[in-house]
Amino acid sequence: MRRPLLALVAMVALTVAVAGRQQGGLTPAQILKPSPESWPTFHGDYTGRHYSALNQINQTNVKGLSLAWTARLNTALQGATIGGFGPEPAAGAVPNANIKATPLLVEGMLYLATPNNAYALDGRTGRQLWHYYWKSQGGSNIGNRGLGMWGNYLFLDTPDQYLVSLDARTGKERWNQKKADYKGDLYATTAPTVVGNHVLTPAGGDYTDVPGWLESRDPETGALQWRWYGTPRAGEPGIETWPSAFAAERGGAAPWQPATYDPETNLIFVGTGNPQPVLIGDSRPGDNLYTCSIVALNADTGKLAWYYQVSPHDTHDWDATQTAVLFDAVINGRQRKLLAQASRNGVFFVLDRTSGEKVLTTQYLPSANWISGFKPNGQPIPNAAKEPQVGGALVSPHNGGATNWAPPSYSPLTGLFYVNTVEGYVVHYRTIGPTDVPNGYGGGAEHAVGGHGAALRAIEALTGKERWVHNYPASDGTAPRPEAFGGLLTTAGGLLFAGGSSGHVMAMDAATGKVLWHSGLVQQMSNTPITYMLDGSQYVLVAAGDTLYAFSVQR
Amino acid sequence: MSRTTFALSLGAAALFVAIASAQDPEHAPPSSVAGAIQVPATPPPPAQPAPVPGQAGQAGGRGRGAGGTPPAGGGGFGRGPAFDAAAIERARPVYEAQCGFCHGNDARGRAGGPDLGRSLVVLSDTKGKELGAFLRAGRPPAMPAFPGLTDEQISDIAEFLHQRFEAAKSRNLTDTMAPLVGDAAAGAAYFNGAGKCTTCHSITGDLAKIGSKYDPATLQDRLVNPRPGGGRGGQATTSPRSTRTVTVTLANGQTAAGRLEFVSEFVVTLVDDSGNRRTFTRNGDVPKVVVTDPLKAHFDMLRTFRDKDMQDLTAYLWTIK
Repeated sequence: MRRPLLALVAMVALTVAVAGRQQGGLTPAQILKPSPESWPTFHGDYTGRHYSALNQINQTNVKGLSLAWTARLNTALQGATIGGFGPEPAAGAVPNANIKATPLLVEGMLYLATPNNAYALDGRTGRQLWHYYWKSQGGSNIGNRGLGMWGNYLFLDTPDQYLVSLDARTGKERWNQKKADYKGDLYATTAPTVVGNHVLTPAGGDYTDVPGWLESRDPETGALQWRWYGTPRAGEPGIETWPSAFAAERGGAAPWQPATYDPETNLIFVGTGNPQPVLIGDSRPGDNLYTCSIVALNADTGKLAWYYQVSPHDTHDWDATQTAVLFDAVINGRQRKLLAQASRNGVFFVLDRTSGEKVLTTQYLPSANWISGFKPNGQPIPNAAKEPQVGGALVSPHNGGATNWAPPSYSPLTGLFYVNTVEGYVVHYRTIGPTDVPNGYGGGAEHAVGGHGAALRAIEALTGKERWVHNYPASDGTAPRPEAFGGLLTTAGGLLFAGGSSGHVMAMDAATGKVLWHSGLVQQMSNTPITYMLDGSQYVLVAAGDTLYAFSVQR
Repeated sequence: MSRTTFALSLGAAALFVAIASAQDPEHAPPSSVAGAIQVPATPPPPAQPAPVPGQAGQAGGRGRGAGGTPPAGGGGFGRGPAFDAAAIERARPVYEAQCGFCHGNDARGRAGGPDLGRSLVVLSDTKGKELGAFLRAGRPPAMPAFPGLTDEQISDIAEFLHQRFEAAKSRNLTDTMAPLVGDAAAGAAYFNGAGKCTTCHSITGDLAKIGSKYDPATLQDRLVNPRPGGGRGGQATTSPRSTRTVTVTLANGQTAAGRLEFVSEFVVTLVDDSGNRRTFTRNGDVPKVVVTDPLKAHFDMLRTFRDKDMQDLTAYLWTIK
């Protein structure tokens, strides 16, 4: 216990030192122990549980939950602060917002982002306070998961690979830092994670065979502090799992989701992306470390502490970037520090987060058919016959995965891990000749052939057993992408908030899955619900498309 | 799959064509199918030169780059620009003579020269403009200058390189797909036996000439699930034969039935035989809602379908002309 304790002392000292450099806003100490009335990070806190200790809204009164306000994001550039180096957008060219971001709620104000845009709204009314627009030179606009915050500073990742810092009070740009050249098919969609005086931001992509990495930058200046590549370079450990440094350096593994963090061990936990080329593995025989892995990195140095590869030699685009959720439990009389991931490949993993040692692995997606067995360390063994075949291989899950980026939730009240899943199938074809070398997704073709629909599953975190399942009826006989259902939130009110299958948000009894309340939205819920408390009123906030909805129990 | 297996699969497919022709004249593939590699598509592929992967309009794109910002590198996932096939053919010998020794004829790089697929000069280029300036000047000491290349040669080489990497990163290209590796005779046995396909289908009835209606990949997708939808590469199709119906039983015992139009946790909407649309509020198990899906057998089969049976069935149905 001595070393974690020392690390904690160091962390607190660092926190105090860092906090002294600015006035107001969100201190690192507040991120370490957030007030339940706030929602200061993508995950709410460092554990990634998407669990709130608020219980004003509970099983008894949730029937009375009603609309407090709605707000439609105004994408017009009139009055916006504009940054970036791309061309001026043509009139009307800025599309309606599609909110995938988890908003932050700090000192009564909401902060959120969509690709190239950042917004502040009043948490009591939804009134838009400022709008920042970044003129991208290119890159992918597929999504933005939100902002990171440190003091009065916000951090925005852009499609063309800049990290931009804004003043949270005004929406004015403080600085921007180029992370990589977007022309190399690199982009970022994440919400930056702030740990101590580190802003963690990834680079990656998947058009072509790109390197993926996570880097740490100084929140004051944006200066680079460290960079961790998702694949080894020549001479480094793990290179033996690649045929060459050439292959490894183009091997993907982008850690494109927000990290979780354990202050006692000073370790951050991130999942890494799939290997490249994505579907055809001929040119990369081996396990391809550290692709499709859960990795633990030292927050101050970026040095790898341990790794656990959930899909060795993946050929199905099943990255392992799903949230690594942290929780503690007593197992066989011993207090354990644990980490759980419901992975895109259909397998649920519980690891000891101090060592990466397996505690439990179990298949949670009934339809998953690519696993030929499990190694003693719990790693699934891929069935080579389910790699893309000339004649087609019928594979589940489909490209979207058993689950995807939309966050799961863990409730310490129920001990259940909640995750939105899809039992989808795809026929994987190999489309290239034996001597061709593919790039990116080339060489393979994925033909979706439906499936058994989407379902919310409640999994006992310590046994892997399914306690209950809620099938989304509108998805029967189809196989949508799992992120289409948004993320999940549990609360100390005994509630689980989820998106319905047809433009709803609903509250369920977290123990049983019984639906207790629902409300229609203008379209399918597109982000992850959060909850916060202002002036003694608890709010539940969700987004659907370009509109935010805040619910509360009227008093 | 190893390269050896791949070659064997092709060999086996070709062998199957020969065997099927010899042993089962009724089910012999038409003479236009010269081998497993050549796949007649619907609609038929354009005349020579061969279709250029990366042409605009390829199905199955994910729509990257949409949404108001110019996409990097001309798109992605098969939605790239159309390429000039003649320019690419002109470029190939010039490229191989001038560039291939260091960068490889596949342009993926060699010890002497970097991978042009990761070259920012190439990725930043528009129609040879940036590439031309670079090639004329070179980059000492390793990259020599090529002052002798004409404007047309440079623009051809640029087209070749852009097409090469657009094609390589694109998915769902069907011009080289060859899913006819199965055994048609085994497929027929499965169709009439273990697969229980004849419970609903007949090759002289609903499946008459099915092998002439679709290319082999589409045929295979549709036999797995005639009503795919959702997910990458899925194409929703509807048929009266696959329409879902619903029966709603109210608390008072009254029932309503019809075509299922919409269902969620909270409502169900049906259209009855008279064309009337009715929506019922759902509250847990009340009213009782029973959905009947004529494709249930196909969905059940997903959990147990063996790849070999699927491939054999495709080979068999392909012979039903």
